[in-house]
Amino acid sequence: MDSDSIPLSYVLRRARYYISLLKAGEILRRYFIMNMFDGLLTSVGVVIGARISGALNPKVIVSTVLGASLAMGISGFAGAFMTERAERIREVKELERSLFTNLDNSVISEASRYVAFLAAIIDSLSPLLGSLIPSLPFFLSLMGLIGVPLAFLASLIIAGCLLLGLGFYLGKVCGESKLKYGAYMFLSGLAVAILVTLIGGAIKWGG
Amino acid sequence: MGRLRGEVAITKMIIDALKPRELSIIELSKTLCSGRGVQSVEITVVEVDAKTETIKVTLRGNSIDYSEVAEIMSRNGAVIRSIDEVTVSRKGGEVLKVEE
Repeated sequence: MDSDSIPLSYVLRRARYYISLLKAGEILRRYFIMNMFDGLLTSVGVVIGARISGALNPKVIVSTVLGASLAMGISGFAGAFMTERAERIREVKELERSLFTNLDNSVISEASRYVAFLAAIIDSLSPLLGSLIPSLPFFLSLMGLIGVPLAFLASLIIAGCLLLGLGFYLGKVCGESKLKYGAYMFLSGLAVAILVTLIGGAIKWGG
Repeated sequence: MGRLRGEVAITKMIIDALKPRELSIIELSKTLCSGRGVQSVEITVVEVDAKTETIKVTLRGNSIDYSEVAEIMSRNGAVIRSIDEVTVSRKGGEVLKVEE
């Protein structure tokens, strides 16, 4: 089969099979939530920090968040790919010892390579999206579509909603109260906002 | 063997194999059943180890292609340890049965 003609449904079915084969759903979910959370809090920190220091300029915010997102994305990809690949290779080698065979051309090795790559993609995209989505209002502000105060407010509301959403998702995963997990996530964002405000304020008054 | 005419085909095989625990016997049996000449597949888990499972695979069909079966097993990370039973038949009705 030509690689161009492989239907998407086949690729998705294969992906689902590889993930279930290596029981990788859990680790991929963990990567997604942890890194999305990192991205969201970074974005909240940058926006509040800029507001406190009086540099609430859309150009500054957009370039700072873009730089931070790219750095998180690239480090996430490289770090997760190398770590996951090493872990998966170790598992395959252990399995080879138990089976007394070489698994190089087996579906197990194929799934290991695929899962390492998928983990890297998730690890890089989730912080990238987590920090870029809340800063979208500043992109709009940069284009002159909305004012800076509205962009600031909208950015914090988006970050808050995404934190709540992540918490709800965690609650759904563990089968406990979605509201409780949503509140935990939201309060973490609030804690970052308060800390950055206090530290920023102290630096401002100190200087 | 020179006096036998017509195609001699494997109609039943019982294979003793070792597979990784992660590999589902549902997926393995479905993949084996899609092989040439295979009409039904039965897999029984005989022994469970920390990382592996010993399975008994019973294949039935009108003309089982053993090399394809071996290829599917190896591709799925399963190792054939022995062939415990084979039934072959020749067109014309005569049946030859070999047991280990």
